[in-house]
Amino acid sequence: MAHELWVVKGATMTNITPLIGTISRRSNKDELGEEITFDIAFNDVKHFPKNPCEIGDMVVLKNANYEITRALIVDEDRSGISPIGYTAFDFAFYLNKSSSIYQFRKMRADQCIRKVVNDFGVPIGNIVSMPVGIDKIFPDDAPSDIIKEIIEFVEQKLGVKYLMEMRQGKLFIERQGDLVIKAMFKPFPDAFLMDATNAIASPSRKRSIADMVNSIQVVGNDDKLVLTRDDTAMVNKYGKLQKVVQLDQDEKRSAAEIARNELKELSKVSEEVSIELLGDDSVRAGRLLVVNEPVTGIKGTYLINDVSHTISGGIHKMSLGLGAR
Amino acid sequence: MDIFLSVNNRAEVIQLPIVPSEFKISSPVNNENFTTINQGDIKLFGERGLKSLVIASFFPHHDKHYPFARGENRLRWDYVKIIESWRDRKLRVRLIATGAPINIVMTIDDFEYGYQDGSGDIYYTLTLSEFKMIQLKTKKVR
Repeated sequence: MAHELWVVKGATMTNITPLIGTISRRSNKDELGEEITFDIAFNDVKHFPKNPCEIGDMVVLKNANYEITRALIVDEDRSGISPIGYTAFDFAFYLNKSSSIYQFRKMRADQCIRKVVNDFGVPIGNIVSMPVGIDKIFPDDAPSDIIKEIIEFVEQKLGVKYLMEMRQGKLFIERQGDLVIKAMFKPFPDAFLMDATNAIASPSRKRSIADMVNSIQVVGNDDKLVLTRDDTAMVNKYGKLQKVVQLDQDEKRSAAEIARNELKELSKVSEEVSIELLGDDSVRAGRLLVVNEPVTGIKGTYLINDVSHTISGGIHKMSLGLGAR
Repeated sequence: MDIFLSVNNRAEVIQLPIVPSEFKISSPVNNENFTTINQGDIKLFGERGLKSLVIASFFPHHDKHYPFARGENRLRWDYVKIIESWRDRKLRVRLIATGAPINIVMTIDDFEYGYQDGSGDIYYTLTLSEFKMIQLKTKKVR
């Protein structure tokens, strides 16, 4: 198996792969951080290695010599003489599980995020520039929720999508469009790399207008209507589906921009797609993948909403939930 | 061909008195099929499974002298007691078949024995499977 799982204890790393049954690695675009679950064989006979894993240890998932991710063991599940189950989260765990108070006064969005992340000791890989001022109090929120809210605000203002993810223990926030990936796999060890989307299993596709919004009313903080914007073509085709967006006090100038970005985001037929592919470590939630599957009509560049990798018996597969960008 | 079973670096050894009529080692591999919508099934290479072996033979009654019997001519129930004791002590068993490159450390997965045909011989079926020695590698964090 090319994948290896190492546990780090103090200054020593131990390769626990020979004792591991299945490794699962899961990510979701709405959650900061990745989850790794694995089960480890144990036995009380003399010649069987002692289980080195404990809650609080760090595990490192590698493929050949490349580090895919590192994570902290947070759950242990023992059941009789069955293999012991462990759940580990990457270091975004600290941002997800804490809560804190923050007040930002006209501070740039990326600087706000840097402050939150630094306060919780999570290393930063890259946070792109976000030239939007934040003027808000976050009274009692998880740091990851504060970061998500700031990013959503910036996305609404700038009409740009961002991706946040942990890589090798560091936080990266980058523009989503920069992360189109090509999933590749090898059907056998000495084969050439092949495009994983050429071998799709279990494709399914669901389309809906249930969440469509094709008309936006922007309302000021005094509840007076500032403006209304329609996506005329979509209103003519599907009927009027309207949403009210409330502005903060000093946002009136950007009302038109907010309405335009909201329509761009919501005035469309939503599409939910799921497929199974052979595994590629670079496939993570929040990244983009080009798929062309003519039978169900899955065609285009999709946002990976969630992905679950399974590595078992030397075989790496993944199931993906895809959505519109 | 002779078949020897031993434990603890040959601290205890038995030679099977009657070589079984059939001696086949199963050596599986956990390959899988991946069923795609456009290319049919794709074969995926998995890792190899554990070798296993089923020995079906008998321990002869001490009054009987089969010309094809081998070994030290223990009492038939002694063989049963030894194998059961290895199983109870959770010992790894080394299987060696002479005249063939077969030398495998195995575990006793099942041992079924009893009389049949009124001969007084103890017929048995011994199911063994490979025991892989695992040593975890360690290194210093850089």
